[in-house]
Amino acid sequence: MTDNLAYVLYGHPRSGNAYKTALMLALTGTSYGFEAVDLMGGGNLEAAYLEINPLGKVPVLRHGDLILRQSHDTLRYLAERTGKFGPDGWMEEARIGDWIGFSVDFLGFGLARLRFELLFGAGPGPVFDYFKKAADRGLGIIEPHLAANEWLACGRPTIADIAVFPVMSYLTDAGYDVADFPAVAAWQQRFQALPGFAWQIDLMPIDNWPPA
Amino acid sequence: MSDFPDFATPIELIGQKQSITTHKVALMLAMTETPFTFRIIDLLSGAQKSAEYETLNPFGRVPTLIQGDLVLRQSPVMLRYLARRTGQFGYADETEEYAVENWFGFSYDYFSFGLARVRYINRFMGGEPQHLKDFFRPNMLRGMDLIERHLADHAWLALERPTLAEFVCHPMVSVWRDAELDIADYPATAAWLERFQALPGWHEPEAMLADRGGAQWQAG
Repeated sequence: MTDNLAYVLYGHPRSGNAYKTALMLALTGTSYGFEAVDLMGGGNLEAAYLEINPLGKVPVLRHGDLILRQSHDTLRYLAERTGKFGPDGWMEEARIGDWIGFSVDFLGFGLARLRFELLFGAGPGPVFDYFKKAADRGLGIIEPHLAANEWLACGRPTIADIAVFPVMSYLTDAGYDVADFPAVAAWQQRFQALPGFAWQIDLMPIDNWPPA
Repeated sequence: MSDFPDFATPIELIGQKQSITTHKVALMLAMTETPFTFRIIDLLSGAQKSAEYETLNPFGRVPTLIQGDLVLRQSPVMLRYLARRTGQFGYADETEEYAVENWFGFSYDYFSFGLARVRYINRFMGGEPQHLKDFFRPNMLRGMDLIERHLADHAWLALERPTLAEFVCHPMVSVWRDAELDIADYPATAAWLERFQALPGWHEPEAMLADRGGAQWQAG
């Protein structure tokens, strides 16, 4: 497979899922073009974008003719292409899979929803309380795990860490105090020290950030 | 990848008869004619919080699939693993792979975060609270609308043949009654349900797992 095709990332700095893909590109030193999708203004539901992703979601990663529409697929794809941050064998693939699932079950359907409800949704209320249960459980799993392990899977940084980092960076926005999760905080510091690390707005630059 | 366990090593699936994610994997095992034993874990009694199960699955979720030293805790990983080991329902190249994988994400977005929640509230929480069903219903209906439009001109979800995409989505859609849907409103989807159910080895998953007579997980 030739690898000189250009990568194009369609995303928005407000999307945690787009940030996963952007981080993977940055941490693997893969150059890419960035196309901002105006989530706030409904640009994701315009015909031109729906042709790229009929579900109107971000991110999309285009590599030549191949269009990837799921953030976790982009991580697995880039790991295979670059030979970085991926599993070596099935035992490792299984452990990385644990944390990719965790990022869906407890973060996507938990912590990320809390932040969404507080910043853009109905605020505190029954929906918030429902997702808080999942978020609390998830934090109760990840904090002791990181107290005993430097990285989430395989003893080195992998796509498991890259899948989990973006939403964990929303702890404060989701109403938690980072000081209550010292092992998570220490892991965040380790992650941010990885060569190539950058914040979402630097990897997916748009004008007028942060929005008023 | 060379660290596969010998595929003749017995497979144990630990799960729950009523769990849709358990159904996905159980159907994959049955329809690839892969022998397995089934052990029941009673989520409603909290057996997943026992120390023994926590060691196997610290996330407290079902199912868990064990083959020798290999412990899998996520249904997408189990499905990919079984496709690779059996050579069935998988993909032949990268283009096929991501066509199939797109449906994993679709199922998360609209079924895990929609249909499956409405069904869970109805089946296990006595139909309350209503406000949570109202919260998840729009996503469920959008997912049903998208899949219906897709199936109106495709026999199968991802490729021209049944794939893992079916194992991800069929067990979700097939609980439509508990999600307060009427499948008659979705004729193409109804026909696809029937097509999948006509494949060799398909059984209604709850009945199939009951027949396997799994031993109950003993906590403590």
